[in-house]
Amino acid sequence: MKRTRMAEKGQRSLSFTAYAVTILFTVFSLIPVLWMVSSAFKSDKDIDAYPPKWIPQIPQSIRVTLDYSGLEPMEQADYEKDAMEATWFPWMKNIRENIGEVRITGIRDGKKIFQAYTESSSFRAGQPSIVPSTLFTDRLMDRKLPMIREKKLSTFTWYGDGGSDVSDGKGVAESALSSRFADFYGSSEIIQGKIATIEEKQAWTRMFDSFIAVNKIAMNAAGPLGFMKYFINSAIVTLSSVAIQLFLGGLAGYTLAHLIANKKWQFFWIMFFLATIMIPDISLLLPLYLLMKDLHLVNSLWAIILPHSAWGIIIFLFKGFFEQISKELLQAARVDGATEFRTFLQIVVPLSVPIFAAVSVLTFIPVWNEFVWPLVVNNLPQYWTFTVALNDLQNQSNVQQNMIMASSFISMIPLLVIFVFAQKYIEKGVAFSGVKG
Amino acid sequence: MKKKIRLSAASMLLLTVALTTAACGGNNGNGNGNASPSTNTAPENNAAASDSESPSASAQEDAVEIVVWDKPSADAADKAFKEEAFAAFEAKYPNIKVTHVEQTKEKEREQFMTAVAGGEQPDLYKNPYPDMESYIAQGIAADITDLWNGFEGKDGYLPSSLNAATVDGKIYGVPNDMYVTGLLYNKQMFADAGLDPAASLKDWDSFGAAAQKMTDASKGTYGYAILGMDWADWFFEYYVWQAGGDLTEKQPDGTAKLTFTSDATIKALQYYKDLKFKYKATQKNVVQSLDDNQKDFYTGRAASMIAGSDWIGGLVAKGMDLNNIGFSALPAGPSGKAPSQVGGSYWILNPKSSPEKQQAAFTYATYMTSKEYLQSVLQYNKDNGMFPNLLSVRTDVAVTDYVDGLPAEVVSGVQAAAKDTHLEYFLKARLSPYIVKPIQEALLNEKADLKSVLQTAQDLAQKEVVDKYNEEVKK
Amino acid sequence: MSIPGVNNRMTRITNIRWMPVLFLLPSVLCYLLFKYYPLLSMVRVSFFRYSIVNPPGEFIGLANYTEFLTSSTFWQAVSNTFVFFALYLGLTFWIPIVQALLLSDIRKANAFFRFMYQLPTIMPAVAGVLVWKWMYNPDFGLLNYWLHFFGLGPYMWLNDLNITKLAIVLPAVFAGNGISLLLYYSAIKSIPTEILEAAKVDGASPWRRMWTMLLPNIRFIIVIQFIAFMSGVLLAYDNIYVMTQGGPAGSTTVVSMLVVNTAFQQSRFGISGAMSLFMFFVIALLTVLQNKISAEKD
Repeated sequence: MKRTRMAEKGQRSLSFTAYAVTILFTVFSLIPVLWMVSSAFKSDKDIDAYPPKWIPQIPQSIRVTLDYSGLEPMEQADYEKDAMEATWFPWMKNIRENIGEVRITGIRDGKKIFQAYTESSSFRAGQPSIVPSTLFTDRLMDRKLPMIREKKLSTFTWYGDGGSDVSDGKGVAESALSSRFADFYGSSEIIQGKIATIEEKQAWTRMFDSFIAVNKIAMNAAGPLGFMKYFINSAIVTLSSVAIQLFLGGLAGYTLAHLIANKKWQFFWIMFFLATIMIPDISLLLPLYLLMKDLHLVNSLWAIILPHSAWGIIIFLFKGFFEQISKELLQAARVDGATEFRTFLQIVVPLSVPIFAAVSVLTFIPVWNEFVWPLVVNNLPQYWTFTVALNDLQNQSNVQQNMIMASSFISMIPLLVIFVFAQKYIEKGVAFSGVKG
Repeated sequence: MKKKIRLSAASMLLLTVALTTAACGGNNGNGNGNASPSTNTAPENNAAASDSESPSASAQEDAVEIVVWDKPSADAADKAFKEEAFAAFEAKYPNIKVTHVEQTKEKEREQFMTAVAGGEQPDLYKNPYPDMESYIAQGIAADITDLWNGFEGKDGYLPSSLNAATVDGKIYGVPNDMYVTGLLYNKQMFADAGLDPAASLKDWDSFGAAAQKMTDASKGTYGYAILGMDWADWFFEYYVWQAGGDLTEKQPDGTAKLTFTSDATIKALQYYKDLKFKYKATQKNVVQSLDDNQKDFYTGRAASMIAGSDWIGGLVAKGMDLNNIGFSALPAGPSGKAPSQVGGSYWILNPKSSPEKQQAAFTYATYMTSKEYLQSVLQYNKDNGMFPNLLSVRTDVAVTDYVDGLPAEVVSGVQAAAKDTHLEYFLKARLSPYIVKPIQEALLNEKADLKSVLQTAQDLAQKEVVDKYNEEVKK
Repeated sequence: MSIPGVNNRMTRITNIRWMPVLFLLPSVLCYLLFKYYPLLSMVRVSFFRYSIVNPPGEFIGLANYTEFLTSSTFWQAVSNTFVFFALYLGLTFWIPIVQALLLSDIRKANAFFRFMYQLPTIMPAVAGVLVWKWMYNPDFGLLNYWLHFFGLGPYMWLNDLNITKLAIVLPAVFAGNGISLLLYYSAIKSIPTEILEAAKVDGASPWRRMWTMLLPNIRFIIVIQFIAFMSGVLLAYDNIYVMTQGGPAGSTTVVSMLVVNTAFQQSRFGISGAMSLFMFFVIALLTVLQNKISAEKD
């Protein structure tokens, strides 16, 4: 009786501490992750706001009605050009504002003649080529209109004479942003239509535009398959590296655990493999590059994959796990006349799924995140991995903080999936290697 | 038993190490054997190539192939324009075949250096001024004096544009572009504080007071974005010039002399410290990156910063109002002067390329900096609403002809700043870390004793860099 | 190979003689090619005043070694490296062990907490550092904003030479332990329950059981982790580079950063190779020492 009560007492304080510490740590460690996620949805301006803001603001939808009544009739293309000027120019002037979309409606004598629509992801992706500065001229749009059409940055719907009637609007909305748009239309001689109304609404669907913008910019950079290409490269590199490590590391680990009886030799080989983790990788950059050049592997995925075949910790983990497999079992197989390789494949491997899973995950992350070596050894974009491409993306002038956060968020997803599916295998794998006291 | 194993463990490790070193000795020979032919083969190959090329080139005008690292990235706004220019070049010089290679925007130096080390240096490469000194010293940049002197169009270039590529009268680079630095300020913020820019930017004291006035913690604004990160020496040198000195002196015999503890340097550093602690006119995060400084400026947080004349376009693209930008030479220091720094980039040739390739690369570089091409760039910029570089390496290209819509003050500010210019301090590439340290100490520690931190830095730089450098020069 | 008396001795001998060689050969070749060969060429280069244009350049014997060994910049970097090592050891290494021990006691929502611990691990390292850099920003960062509610600060973080190193280590206290935690936790879970039951019957309190039963039983994994930790911390580069690039005033310049800068900014590959070799031997020495100490405890 006494004993159990004592145990319970200790148990209670232990449980309390356990929960308190665990919750504290997980909450603290989540702050950067949460900040990253919330920033991905924020406008660039809000990211550096002080005091810090956690809740992203909903982007604004600006709806402008331009009246062409009383003006000389124009061609459809001229209206389109005017609509694009009315969209892209004032937006560029207010590039730091949280604008989610701009709609321009053209009316003539009370009838709708066209509607133009641009969302912020298109604006971000197109801005460097469409409106690289605030030096606006009418001639500029002549050159840019074909680009807008070709890349489908804005949509333009023409109603002509068949447009519906438009009721009188409510004038210009009372907000700083709307009045700045109104000022621009008022002062600019480029835009022909007269402002009838400017409305502002919240457009919550545009909160995801930093994600869409990253994707559009990537497509700009690398063509429709481009970003997929990087993903495919990364997948090839990561999977091959993991496969090579599993195969070579598994064989070597098995040999160390079961086939070398001489303690001194065993120790020698362990040190031979383990000592390599003490070499600063970054200092091998140049010799390794020269080696790859001699092997004619520069600018190929092999150049990234092959060096991963040598990572000391792996063999150590395999050895730890394989030592748990009973020698009698292996002996029995040998007695049956199985070759050592068949013993390994048919008896050892099936028993060792957990350690293979554990090693896969442990190596997956560093290979996936590797940056400097792939960049140095492969300078042609078709051999870039996802990480290299992502870093390159971050250096582009139209990529904002929120897009960097969005791209980081996206790059977490493959790892997240792996973790969710593999967690229990890792635990089992380590459980085995770990028993060894 | 256990002890024995442990002992053997230690001895095995030693054995490994011994083996490693022994193998190293063994491999040493191998390595030598391997490396020397490979280093020899590179030029030999080239020589062989040129042997086979030169007769035929003269006879049949066979194509010379050169590699240039200048491919625009796929998202570059002027990609189509560049590609047209590449095609135009090949049409004009059908016997030169140019392979354009793209470089990433990060770790460029690592990429270039590994390529050089791997014997894959491009025939033509564009690099900024500060790297020239060391590339020339290492023999990475080819001596193009003869090519240059035999080049008809050389007079079209601004004579001063060659300065940073000239060592002992020899020329090592074709000037590609230039910028001049000055003080960029936010006109609105000056006006809001009731300040007249001209008066405020007169000298150190007036600028300090003005910057202080524009610093308002409640609004998050401050007067001057100071550069205190590991490039701090870049802008700090200007203040030393303003105080009438420089960080180093090149002696007539080519050796270097450090002047970290000169009056001018101490005064300049004291002013830096004052801006931070006395006027409290800088950002608190003085070690923030140059990008962050720019961001503070275009978001209206910082009222002024030092900038290159070629940055204005980037700031405007990020949302800075063009009409709100002022550009002026820096406030004058105790010497009454405020020279601007000129920088830019050069095309450098691979010294190991065959003479034919060098000639072809030179032709390409001069084509890409020809009057016609630079004018077409300016016209392209103008047509596309892009902000031009306001300074040209050529005397026969008038940038002002292409600047419709630009505020006249900015254009004249840049031109005024370009009148009195200065090159960066001698041996910068090697001395930079030594001078950055005292600057950062002055900015981070209010109690720092400037004279002694500068003395420490100078002693260290003298011992670790300058003594060795001077020894090599005297050899 | 001492396998208890079995028949079929002939087959066994052929298997055993050749199989280890065959099985090890591919790995050994890869290690020789991708680790030892580059290492050796680095060793060779370290005796030259390396010329990038005409490699290897002039043979200068041990001059590279004497140069960096007498350079105060180098020793400053060595001291920075070891201060970092001490900070990481004191502030971060033991944390996942404690977390795992405590987590093993949690019954409710255990899988949830394990998952939460993993989340920061899969965040791209660069993004993590960027966020922390922003949190430290003395002008508009989150940390000072929160601390001022407790009447603390403002701290200058990366702008205060006295605490820059601490500011670099601090993020690792809260994040980046996910994998270690998982390793420890799994090791704890694999301890046979009979041992624990026996201890319980003997009247050991839960706290006592934790320290006397659980902790010693995961020693193996702690040792592996320590070896990896040691080389990881002594060769740390990426996170410091992104956070401070070695500044301010050289206060966070570690040896590996000096190695990279000497090589790629000054193209002095010889001396850079010599310095990395120095680090290799330092870590090897520490590993031997550590091996000795942990063997003595056995």
